[in-house]
Amino acid sequence: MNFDLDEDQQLLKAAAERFVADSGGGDLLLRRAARMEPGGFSATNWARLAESGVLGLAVSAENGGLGQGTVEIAIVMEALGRGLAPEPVLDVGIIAAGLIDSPENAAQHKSLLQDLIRGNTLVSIGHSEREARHSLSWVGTSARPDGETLRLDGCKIAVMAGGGAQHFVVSARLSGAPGDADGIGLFLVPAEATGLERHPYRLADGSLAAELTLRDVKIPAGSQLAGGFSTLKTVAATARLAAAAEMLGVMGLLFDNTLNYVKTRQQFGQPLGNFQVIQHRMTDAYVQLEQSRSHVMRAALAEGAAFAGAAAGAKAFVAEAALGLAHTAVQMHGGMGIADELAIGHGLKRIRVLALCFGDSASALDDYRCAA
Amino acid sequence: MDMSFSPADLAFRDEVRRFLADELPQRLRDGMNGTPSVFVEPEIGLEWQRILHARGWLATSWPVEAGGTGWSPVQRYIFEKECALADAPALSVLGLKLVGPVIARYGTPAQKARFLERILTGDDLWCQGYSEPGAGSDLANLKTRAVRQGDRYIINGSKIWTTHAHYADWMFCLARTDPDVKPQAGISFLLVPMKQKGITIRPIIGMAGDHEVNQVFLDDAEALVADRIGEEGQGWTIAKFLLENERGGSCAAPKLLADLQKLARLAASQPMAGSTLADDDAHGRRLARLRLEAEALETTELRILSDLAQGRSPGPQTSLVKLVASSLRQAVDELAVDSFGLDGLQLATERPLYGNESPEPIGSKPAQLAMPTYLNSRAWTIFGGSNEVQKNIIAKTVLGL
Ligand SMILES: Cc1cc2nc3c(=O)[nH]c(=O)nc-3n(C[C@H](O)[C@H](O)[C@H](O)COP(=O)(O)OP(=O)(O)OC[C@H]3O[C@@H](n4cnc5c(N)ncnc54)[C@H](O)[C@@H]3O)c2cc1C
Repeated sequence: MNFDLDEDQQLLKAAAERFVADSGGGDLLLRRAARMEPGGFSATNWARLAESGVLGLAVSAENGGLGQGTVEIAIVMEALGRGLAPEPVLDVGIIAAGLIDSPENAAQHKSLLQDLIRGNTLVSIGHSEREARHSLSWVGTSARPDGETLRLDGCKIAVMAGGGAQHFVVSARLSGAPGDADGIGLFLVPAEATGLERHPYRLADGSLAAELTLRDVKIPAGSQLAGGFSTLKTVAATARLAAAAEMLGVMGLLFDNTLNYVKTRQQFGQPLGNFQVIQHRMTDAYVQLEQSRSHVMRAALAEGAAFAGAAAGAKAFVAEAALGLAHTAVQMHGGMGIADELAIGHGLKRIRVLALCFGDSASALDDYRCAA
Repeated sequence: MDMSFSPADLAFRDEVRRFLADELPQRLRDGMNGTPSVFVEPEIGLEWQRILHARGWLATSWPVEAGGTGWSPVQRYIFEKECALADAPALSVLGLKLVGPVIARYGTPAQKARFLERILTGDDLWCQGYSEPGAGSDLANLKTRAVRQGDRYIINGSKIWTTHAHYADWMFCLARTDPDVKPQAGISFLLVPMKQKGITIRPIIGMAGDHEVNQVFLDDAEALVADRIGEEGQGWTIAKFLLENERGGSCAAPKLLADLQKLARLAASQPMAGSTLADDDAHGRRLARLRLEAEALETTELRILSDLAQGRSPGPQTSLVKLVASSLRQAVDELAVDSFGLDGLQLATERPLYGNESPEPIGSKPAQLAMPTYLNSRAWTIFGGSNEVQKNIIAKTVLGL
């Protein structure tokens, strides 16, 4: 048994950390400026991520990606989390790319996937619906075949990075009723499709999401991607691991900043860290951080059939731990903790968003216990 | 033992209800419900304040001779409860609950005449200049220096987290007038005009994007000696009187219970894969658990009021009210965020979130308010004495540890 990273993994980690450092990771002014760019993140950094291959990190080599495994995904996502990177690597590089990446899609959609990986086209996923709450299989949006075309109707919410996307992967129902696992299809819809109305809005982390209304949106039959609910579940498992790893990175940042703060901030003639209450709270935070790290490792190392359950469990565990740690970090900073000038609040807000990636903690916990 | 209200109390309750139904404009209710920050903007709060003042129902915590309502503690409680249920704007505490009672208690007749009425009319808005960059929990460490020069003080230093300094006409300010005695003894309580050359205000934006607090720089700012409250060096005693008012004497449970009731009602409108959130046992239990806690707080608050009503000084329960109320506030606001599912993640950057110009919400207006309210709510356990500090006080003064 050995939990050390191998040489390639160490290089990857160093490269990811270098990216974060070079792209202004931790600089909140740059981050704010990036949020004001059209898609809600820095186009320059997106191009750099594309250049380094990160947008195709998990995409198979046949489809032009790096074909990396779960450990590598966790390494990169943790580094991005630690840098509070505003770029939607999770939503586009892991989730959207993951949904398109299959041998069956290679012939028809390889060029789109390559555009995505090269950073030329932004694709995001429209899956969640208001009626579903956090249920993965609750798809009410319909897809009706009509000759050589398909017609889509429905509404999608919280389409991550959807404010600036050029394409959406939309889940819609070909048959059955909402809640059925069978009958769900995945469809590529260009943002400018007639009948598609996009309402961009900001999430807590400052990212630009969208609500999509589809009214009789006509797309060619060839826009249907291979796979259905099982593809969604596979990608959701990877995304949950990635979200957990990113939260772990944010936790590390908040923890280190807070530890440093209580060591340097003086009240009553001594550092805050001299007070036993503070020592215990920091100790609790440290325990949560290490336990979360262990869960991310477990999930990243889980194989085959065990992976989905482990990823769901890791996400449920880490989300709760991360929120608790972020609340502690705010509290330990006193007034400073609530100011937007510090990374602390930004970390809390990012964690809030990540915590709902493919379901809340309860639904992730359900998937975890049902997998056992 | 009897938990019921007297017939006179019930008649009073009905009178308050009628008044709220007739006199509280919908625009102000919407303003209150559309406010995610801890403190309500003067635009909303002041109008309500003037309506209350016209009715003589404003200064619930002031002595009668200073313009107070003369209500019994139970009447105050009933009033707060009905206001919470009617979505009445929360009034700014700075003048009414903080400096007002201080001036009424420690001010000279001239000071009372000059300041109290203008607090009630809202002609003067106030801010609280206690905290400094180096003096938060350790308030006695404050460094702002006031040097006497003829009939005035020349003040230098900086205050931080000053709520609504950008609206204020006056600041009640703790400043060090004597650096050579023990820290608590050298502090004076000064009233400082905000609109003067020596004062600069730097906005501090909170993590939800709201502008509530500021850093205030005093560079040779001036205050009249005649505007000092109490004696030179008496500032700490006065500051403590004020902090006790800030921490105790409040009625937090009514608003918490009203908000929980709203959340319970709202659950039925939140779809959940074929049913609604109201059918979710986990959610129901979370709500019930919080309601239990809020009910306990309500009774604790009523126990304090009952002591006061019978002329007894309230017991040690006062110390735990702020502690319980602030944590509960955060738990309720967190539950609200979770109630809206993915819609709870939205965080509009525009302000205000009420009125015709407010941004279009995703899902619903309450969903739009949830995230910023939750984020701002993290401040409840920090200001007015953090929870850690409250616990230290309870451990020391109540438990004798
Ligand atoms: C929204 C908001 C509005 C405010 N409005 C005003 C205002 O209008 N006027 C004003 O004067 N001030 C205001 N404040 C300031 C507020 O009173 C201070 O933030 C508070 O006193 C804490 O001080 P601090 O921020 O310096 O934190 P610190 O004192 O540095 O505390 C940091 C952390 O250490 C903990 N800590 C400190 N000492 C101890 C100890 N001995 N034992 C254990 N733990 C300890 C604290 O609990 C906290 O968690 C406001 C604050 C906020 C957040």
